[in-house]
Amino acid sequence: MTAPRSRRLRSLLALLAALLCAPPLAAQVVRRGPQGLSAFRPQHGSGYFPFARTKVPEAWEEHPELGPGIRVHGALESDPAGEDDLIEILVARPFEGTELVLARSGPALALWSTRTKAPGSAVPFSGDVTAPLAFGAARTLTLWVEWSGAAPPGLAALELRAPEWDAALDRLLFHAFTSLVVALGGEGQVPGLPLDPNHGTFVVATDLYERGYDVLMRDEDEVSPTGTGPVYTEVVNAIQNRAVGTLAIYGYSHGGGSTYHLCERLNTLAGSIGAFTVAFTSYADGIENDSDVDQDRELRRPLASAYHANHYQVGTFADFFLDGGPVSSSFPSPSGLNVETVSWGVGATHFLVDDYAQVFDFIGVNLEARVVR
Amino acid sequence: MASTFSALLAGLALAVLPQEAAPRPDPVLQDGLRRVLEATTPEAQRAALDFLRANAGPAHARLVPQVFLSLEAARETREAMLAGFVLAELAVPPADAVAALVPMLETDDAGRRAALAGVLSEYEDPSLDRGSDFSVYRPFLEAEPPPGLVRHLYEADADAALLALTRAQVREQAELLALLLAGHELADLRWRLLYGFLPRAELPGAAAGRAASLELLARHPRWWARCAVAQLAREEPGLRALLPLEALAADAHPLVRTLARAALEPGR
Repeated sequence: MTAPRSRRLRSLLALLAALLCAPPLAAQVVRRGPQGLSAFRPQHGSGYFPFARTKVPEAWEEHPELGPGIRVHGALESDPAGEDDLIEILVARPFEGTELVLARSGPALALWSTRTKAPGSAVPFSGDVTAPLAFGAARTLTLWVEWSGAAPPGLAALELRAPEWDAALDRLLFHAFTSLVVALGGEGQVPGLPLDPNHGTFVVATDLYERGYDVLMRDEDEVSPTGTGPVYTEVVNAIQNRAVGTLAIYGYSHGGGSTYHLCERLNTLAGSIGAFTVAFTSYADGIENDSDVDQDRELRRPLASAYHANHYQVGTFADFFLDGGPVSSSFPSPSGLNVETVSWGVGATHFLVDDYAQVFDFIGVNLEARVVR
Repeated sequence: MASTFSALLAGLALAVLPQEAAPRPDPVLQDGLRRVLEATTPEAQRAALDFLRANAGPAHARLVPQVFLSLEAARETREAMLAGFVLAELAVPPADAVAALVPMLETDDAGRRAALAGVLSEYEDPSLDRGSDFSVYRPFLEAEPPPGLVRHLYEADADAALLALTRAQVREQAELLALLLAGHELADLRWRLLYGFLPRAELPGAAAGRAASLELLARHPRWWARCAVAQLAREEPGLRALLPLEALAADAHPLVRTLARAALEPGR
């Protein structure tokens, strides 16, 4: 038997097996495909840095919260970081010789064959279904999904179909982001890869990114003492052009001070920015950040924050007497937690307080409870 | 003639100071800083701080640049927070810190200037509502203002910069009032933009209504006043057509030229 005939036979058997195991076709129930479609977490700038290119786990591909998230692409968006709103998807051809198409749930989703939306690279839909996908000799095809700014944020699906067999092979359920998480590290901490396990702020940020949030993970120096800078520009762009209405902002050490400054500017200029709420903020041993040599404790509650978490320790010579402190109306109530008063935090220093799993969990759990994706 | 001479001097300063103002690591003080960083007992830390105090030089002029270099080289939080600790523990007065750091602003290295700005803001009391307070620089501004400092001030808070320079430099009443009014009109323009009273699309029209003030600043004999217009053009590319940027890009003063040419760069 020649090799091509052998491959055809294997493909036919696989397709037969798929059809036998599938529910009635008329019901159009999506059977979990053999990695027919894969989606990745959002880009940043010209790639994924400071995050790794992260595939959405197969089990979450159709989850309305943990599944693939996508930024609304506003018509007037300035895209401060360059065109990075498109979500990368990988289409795998499970059977050779079978035509495959993509079907979308509605016009909110657009498809491109290039990440930069190069002229001529739009993938056209007819009745919300593409023409047969052109794999050429390849087994996989990379496409880029865009959420049109004309559509209100919500959920939208993309389905891989084999029209010849009237079979739906795999499906991705996209949630359009209505929130943005801002994570600000401490002095000297620069987001990077591989992720440094001692950069607790960025560990939490990476976890949230992997769990379907849109996360801006930045050096706290990108927020000036008056709140200006690239982070503020990104946040305002998201509010004004990407349908983002909910913010979560947290930071460690000087990143706590920068959290205050960013919230102060957003609150002060709210009237000229647009509608938004700061649903969650957090300090881990917050230090005021009027400068890179500021040593003062950040004890001011972020303005207009609906919920503020606060963890701190008491400094000694070993950490240059650096410490955060109680912040009124913070959680754990009433003013946050001195981690040295609980068993897991005994002996904490300023340089450790952001790295406790208990601090990670408190931030993650309370943020997720208050911030829709 | 005098203004040409001062422009020449300023040009010379820009050309020469980057080399002279770049501090080199001082092994003795860097070792002292490392001892503070690595101290394992309070006593060892105090001894290391005493060593730095004893070797800080007059008005901390030897120590402060070394503290800055250690901050610039920091790669993790503990190293980065050492600088603030040393400045605080040794109670280095703001005037000493500023006097040691301002000459370093003459560098062409934008990264170093940003790092210096990150330290100097400690002494500028930055405020969203009030603006910055640059009074700590008064001794520098009352003499011929160093171009590097002027560039820093305009980048940190352009309105406060023009006001501080005007107050420090101008004695003649008519000139003072004219500059104060022009500065106020620029500040008002920025304030209206900031708080949304002026949509950005309407900025050229609003600026045209302040043409007299913009003209006064753009053609002012004092170079630092002309910088105010070039800086505004850098911030607001939509105003380029209204401002005499080509003339400013050929200005006698190198900083005015630099700012104006930056405003003219494609893509701004």
